[in-house]
Amino acid sequence: MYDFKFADIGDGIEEGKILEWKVKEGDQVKEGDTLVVVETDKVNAELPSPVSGKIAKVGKLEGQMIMVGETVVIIDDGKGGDLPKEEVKKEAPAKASQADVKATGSKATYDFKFADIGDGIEEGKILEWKVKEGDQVKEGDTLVVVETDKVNAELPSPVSGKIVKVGKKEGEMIKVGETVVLLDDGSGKYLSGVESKGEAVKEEGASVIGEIEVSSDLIESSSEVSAPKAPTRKKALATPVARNLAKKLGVDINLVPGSGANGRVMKEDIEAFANSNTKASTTKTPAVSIPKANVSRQGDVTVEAIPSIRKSIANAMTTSKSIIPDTVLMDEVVIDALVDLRKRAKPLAESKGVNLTYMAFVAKAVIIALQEFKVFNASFDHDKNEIIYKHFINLGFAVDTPAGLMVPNIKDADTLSIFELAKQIRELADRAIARKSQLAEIQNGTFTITNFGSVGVSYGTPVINYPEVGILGVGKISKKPVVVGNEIKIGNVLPLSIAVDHRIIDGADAGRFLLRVKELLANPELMLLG
Amino acid sequence: MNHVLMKNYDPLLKQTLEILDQNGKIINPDLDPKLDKETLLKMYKTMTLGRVADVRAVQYQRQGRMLTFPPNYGQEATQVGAMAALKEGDWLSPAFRELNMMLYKGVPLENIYLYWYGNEMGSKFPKEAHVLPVNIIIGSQVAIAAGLGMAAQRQGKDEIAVASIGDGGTSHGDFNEAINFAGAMNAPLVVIIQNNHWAISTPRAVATKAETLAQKAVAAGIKGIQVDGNDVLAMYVAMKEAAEHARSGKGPVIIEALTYRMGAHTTSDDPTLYRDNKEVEEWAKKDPVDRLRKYLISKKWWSAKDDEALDEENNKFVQEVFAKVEQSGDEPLEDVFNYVYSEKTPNQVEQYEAYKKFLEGGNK
Amino acid sequence: MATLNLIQAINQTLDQQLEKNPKVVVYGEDVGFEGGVFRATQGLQKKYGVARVFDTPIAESSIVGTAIGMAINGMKPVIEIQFDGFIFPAFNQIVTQLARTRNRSRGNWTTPVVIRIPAGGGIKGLEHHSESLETYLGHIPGIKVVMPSTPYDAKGLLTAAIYSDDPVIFLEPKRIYRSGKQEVPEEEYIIPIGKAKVLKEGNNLTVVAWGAQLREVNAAVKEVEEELNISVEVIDLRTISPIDSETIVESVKKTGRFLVVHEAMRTYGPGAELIALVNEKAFLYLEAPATRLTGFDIVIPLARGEHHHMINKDQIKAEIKKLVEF
Repeated sequence: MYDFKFADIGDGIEEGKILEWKVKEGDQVKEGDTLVVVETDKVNAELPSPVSGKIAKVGKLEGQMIMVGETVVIIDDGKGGDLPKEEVKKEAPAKASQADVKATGSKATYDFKFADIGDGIEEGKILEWKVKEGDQVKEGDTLVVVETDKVNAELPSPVSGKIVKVGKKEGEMIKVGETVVLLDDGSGKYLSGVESKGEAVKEEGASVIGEIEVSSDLIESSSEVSAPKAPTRKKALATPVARNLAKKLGVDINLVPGSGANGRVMKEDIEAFANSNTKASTTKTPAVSIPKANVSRQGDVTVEAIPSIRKSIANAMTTSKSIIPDTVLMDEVVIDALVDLRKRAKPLAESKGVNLTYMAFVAKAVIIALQEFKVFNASFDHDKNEIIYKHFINLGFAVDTPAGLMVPNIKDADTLSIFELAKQIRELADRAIARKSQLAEIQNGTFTITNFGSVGVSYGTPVINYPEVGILGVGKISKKPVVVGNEIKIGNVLPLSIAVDHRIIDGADAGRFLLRVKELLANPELMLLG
Repeated sequence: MNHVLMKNYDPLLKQTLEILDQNGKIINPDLDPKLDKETLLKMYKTMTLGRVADVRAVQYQRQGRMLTFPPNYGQEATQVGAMAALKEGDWLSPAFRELNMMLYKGVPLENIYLYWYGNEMGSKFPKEAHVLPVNIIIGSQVAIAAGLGMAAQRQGKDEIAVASIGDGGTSHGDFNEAINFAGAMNAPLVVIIQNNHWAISTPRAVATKAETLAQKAVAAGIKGIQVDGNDVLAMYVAMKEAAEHARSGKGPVIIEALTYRMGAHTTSDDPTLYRDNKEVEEWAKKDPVDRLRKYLISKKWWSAKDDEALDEENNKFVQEVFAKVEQSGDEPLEDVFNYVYSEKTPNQVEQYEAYKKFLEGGNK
Repeated sequence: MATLNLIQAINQTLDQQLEKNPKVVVYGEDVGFEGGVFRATQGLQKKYGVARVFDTPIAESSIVGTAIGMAINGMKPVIEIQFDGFIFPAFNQIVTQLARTRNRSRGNWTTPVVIRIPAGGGIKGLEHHSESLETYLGHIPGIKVVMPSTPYDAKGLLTAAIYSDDPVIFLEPKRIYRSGKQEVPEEEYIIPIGKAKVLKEGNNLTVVAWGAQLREVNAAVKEVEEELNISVEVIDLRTISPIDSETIVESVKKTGRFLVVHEAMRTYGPGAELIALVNEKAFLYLEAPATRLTGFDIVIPLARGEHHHMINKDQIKAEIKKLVEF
């Protein structure tokens, strides 16, 4: 069997209308014989037979539309095979014109449309035609049986007259509003042309060149109300370079206070902010709302803008004090043995170019204590309720620089000897004062030591360097009367103040830590032992 | 009007319309338009003023006081004769060598000078003159003129449009396309081809193989006539008939005026490099102003003394006008922005404000 | 309210304006009797007569030239250039006369002409029937250029163009001439020239496109929003010139990321202009480079190769992903 399908015979044709059959079912045809004339919007085309054989089944009737790809005719070419099953005609593709029936040249007076025959039916399937074109019918005669999802309905003729044109074939779907059949009721009031619902634009795809897609897809209705778009979150202003830096440092740039024009976040701001963060810390900073300082006009004032480093310090302090519920313990230790040790070691130190300060010894003592009291060398993740223990000790030292407080730290301080510590403390401080500290030096500290003694102060309540959890303040060494045995002697006394994060370190822990530090400083030979 | 001329003067037969010869004698009395003294004197005064303005402009340019200027010297009759035959309301879509046409149609010399001095404000002619600004692009003016005419037709306005173009311009695609288009649209259009025989350094013969330019009308299916362009009466008569033809809806007409560019293409051009002085001398004998003067004097409507006085008057006037123009100075910054659109675009506003600020020294 | 496709909306607009304003004339090649090769002017000659709706010889330069003259002398010409690729002979008139007459005459004469042009590719057409003209036209001071993406916008913008005191070039995205219908109000309405439209709000990325390209953009955005859990702001530029800088910049300030998608060739294309704008006005808000996804620097291919040049939904999705992950 040869299924001769309607091809695109030129210029993007999508459909045509069967004008005139030159053969009928049962006829013998030779290859090349004209089978049918099809009207398209460009030309009237004669379709020649592709094979020789017998006409087995005509695909479309005269007057019917045929889409590209549909069967024109089935020819029995003697090669065997069955007639292809009757396809239920799919819902007319959007490309086809809504009007499946064009009444050019036909004389119809009545267009019988498929109505909603009950219960909101939208479409049905033509089951069986009881009449055919040319038949005379009386009003009320059953014309066709239509299957709906409720009932199989017989449609009676609305008028008496002649069947001019059948709207849909058996097996095809018909939608409410489409033409079932055209009749001539003899009234003489001929329809000018069959309109289906929608515009009967004759040349739907007209374009002269190329293919224009035709579809009846509904586009959402337009609304011209353009709501003003307020930004949904405050965003940092920054150059791509600054943003890149923030990314590298793991800083959320939107949290960094900007010191540039219009609040622009500069590289220095990011560095300073990173200074108060460690890589491991993912703790979100709860927002602190700071009430504005009310400087009412009490008298003459001078207003001075602060430099960015001061701003960073202000922010860091505010952050620390608002997040950490700190508690402070103070005590003093007699360090005569240490004083002695230092005096004896000084010449050796000098020969090695080391300025052997007490700080170096304090550092060593603190390091040993940190190794034993690991929680003091940790950070606390408030959101996740996790303590992050660090396996490295980066010991920070508060340095008083002309620009303000800076806290560089010695990386892996636990690997250094006291001499090395002394050296590095000095170098760190020098660089900080000269504002030559490397970024890495002020990042990622794990514990801090601050020296009140250098300004002649004994005790204090130092601010923890968030997100660290402890800070040791070292006061001025002074000669004081001390009780040895039952006697009063003059001893060298070193005051110590330790502040700790009371969320994870209790007073007792702090006390024990301090005790250990004191023990090491009072008996420096113990530092040898570990 | 019988439209006799189109029939009797076939450019394909090289028939050229002449009425007033170079000696100021009417040689075709049947076609004498018999213009009254007032009209003829108006024409003469416009031609002489135009000539003085022209000569002066070239002088000013050589003195460094005027910019590039295209002289009209020798083409006065072509321009004035044609304009004199138009009605009020008729349009002129010029090229750039129509000084006398503009003057006749009511454009003040001050405007013309101001434009060539380098300020677009000069092109803001009095609207009622219906004259479009100087158009440097060759050929575009013809379709525009056709459009002016088509608009008049559709609004029932009794207006025709005249496009002026040079011999060189007739080679251009836009000219050929436009006359064809105007013919197909039956636009009320008259095209004056000022055939001054030279397109910069290109002689007329190189512009086209056609023997006349008027015959290009034949291919477009419209009327064409070749006229002695230095004969102000012939130009008048030809335009009178052509305008009537177009106005009555019979279609466009081409008038080819045979004249000569006595001066250079512009003040930056040196014609001695490419043409023979003999040719210039020959054409000098056919001078349009001369022959009109001779005619006026022969009719006792003018005298040599009148001429002297007029010359003095013209020179004085031209000098005054130019002095005024010389004082006009530079264009203000706003002007370069304000006339591009009906309202400045946001980008233009921004650019203008920024530059203004910069000029005021606030470039922080 | 009727639901119309783009061609029908244009037809309705022309009909309405021809009726309302006796100065309106519609002409060009094949627009009169046949109603235009795309049927945009169908039925108009029959209704309004040959004097107002008429066919011309094949002469783009003169079509525009006469329109200029007609506009100067009181008419409102709404002319058609049959295909984008045919605009070039008329370019002389557009650049040297249409765009400059107001300036040249210091406001004495104006040329409020509307030029309608089917534009863009994707129709498997012959050569020169699929050009993108934004750059050529956008670079001309003195004219305005618009391109609608929906039937509703088409009517609004075309009406605005006809009412404009300046010459307007109305680019019609031909490949969506009949793709889909939309509710279009009967009555006259205007969409202001120079105003872009935020089709959809979002927070993570701004995408700007126009004309037919929005189809692919919208489809891509829908998918990628779900896949990446982001929200994308989509802007229909609507007016190519003058650009609505404000809408674009405000959006980028909010989202921090910018993508422009266009069919036109890449180099010196309209995308470059928008990126320059974003750079000038929203530099400090950018979290990723302002990016353009464009056609190639090639001659748009014939049917068998055209799909290489046209930008598809997947390309857009990939570009959005890249930007969001920057």
